[in-house]
Amino acid sequence: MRRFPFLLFMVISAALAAMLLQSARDKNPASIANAPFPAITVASFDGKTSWQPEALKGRVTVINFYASWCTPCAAEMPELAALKKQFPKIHLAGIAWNDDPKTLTKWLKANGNPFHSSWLDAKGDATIDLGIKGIPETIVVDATGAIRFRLAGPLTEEVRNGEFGTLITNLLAEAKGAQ
Amino acid sequence: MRNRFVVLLAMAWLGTAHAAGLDQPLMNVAQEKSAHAIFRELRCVVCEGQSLAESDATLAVQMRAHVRTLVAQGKSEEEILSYFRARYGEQILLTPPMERHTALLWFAPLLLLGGGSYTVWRVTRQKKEVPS
Repeated sequence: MRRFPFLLFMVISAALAAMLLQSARDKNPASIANAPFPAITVASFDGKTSWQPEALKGRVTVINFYASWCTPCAAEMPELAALKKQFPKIHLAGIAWNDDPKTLTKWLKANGNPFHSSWLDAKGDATIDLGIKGIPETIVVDATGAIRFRLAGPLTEEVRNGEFGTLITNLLAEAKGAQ
Repeated sequence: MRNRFVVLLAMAWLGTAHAAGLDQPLMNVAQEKSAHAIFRELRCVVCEGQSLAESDATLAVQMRAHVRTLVAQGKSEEEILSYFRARYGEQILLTPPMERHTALLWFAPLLLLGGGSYTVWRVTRQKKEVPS
C-alpha cells in the first residue's frame, strides 16, 4: 500500500510514453497507404496548364515537393535524375512550393531538371492538402491514383536502392499486370 | 536530421514577404471572426508552441488563407478542424479532443495531483505518528 503512489506514477508515466510514441507514429495521417491522391490545385510555371488528376491513372507517378531556396532540394536533384534513369517508366513530377517561376526556371537549368512535368504551388494549397510540413518531400502514387509511399526529407542513394526502389519495381509490375 | 532542421528554419523564415499578400482578412466580419477563432485552435506546424494566429511563418500564413477560403465556402469550425486533423494529425489541434486514447492526457494531471497529495498526506501522518 505504501508503494501505491509510486506505482501509480510509474503506470501513468508508462502510459503517457506509450501515447507519445503512438502519436509520433501517426504523425502524418495523410501518409496512410492506399489513400487516394487528393485533387490538388497547381499550375504550370506559365499558369496556362492545370494539374489533371486523371494524369495519375495508368502510370506510376513520383511527385517531389521542392523549392529553389531549399538547400537539401538542390542536393537531391542528381538523385531524382538517377531515379528517372533507373526507372524510365515512371512519371516524375516536381511541385515547387512558395517560389517564383522565373527563379525556378533558372534554378532547374542550373541544377539539372529531372522532372517530366513541373508545377507551381503558389499559395501552398497543394502542400496543405497533402499535409506537408517540410520540403523536400516525395510521394509515390500507384497506377490507380493511390498514395503508396511518402518520403519526408531528401531522397538518397541508400533510400533509392532500398525500400523506395523495391516499391517502385513492384508498382511498375502491378501497373503492367493491370494493363 | 541537420538537413531537416535547415528545411524547417527555411520554411519558418524564408519567403514570408512572398506569402504576406495572402494574409488578407475576409470582407464578411462574422466570417473573419470565425476564421480567427479557428486560427487560435490550430498549431503552427513549423514553429514551437505557437498557434496559427501568432505565427508569421510562410506555411502558417498560407494555412490562414486556406482556413479563410474554407470559411468563405461555408464550412463549419468542426469541419475545418477535421480537415486539418486528417492531414496533420491530432498534433495540429491546440486542444486535444476528448477521446478514449487521449483520456489519459486529460486526466493524468488530476491523477498525478491525487497521487502527490496522497504521498504528502502519508508522509505528514507518519511524522506525526513517530513518538517524541
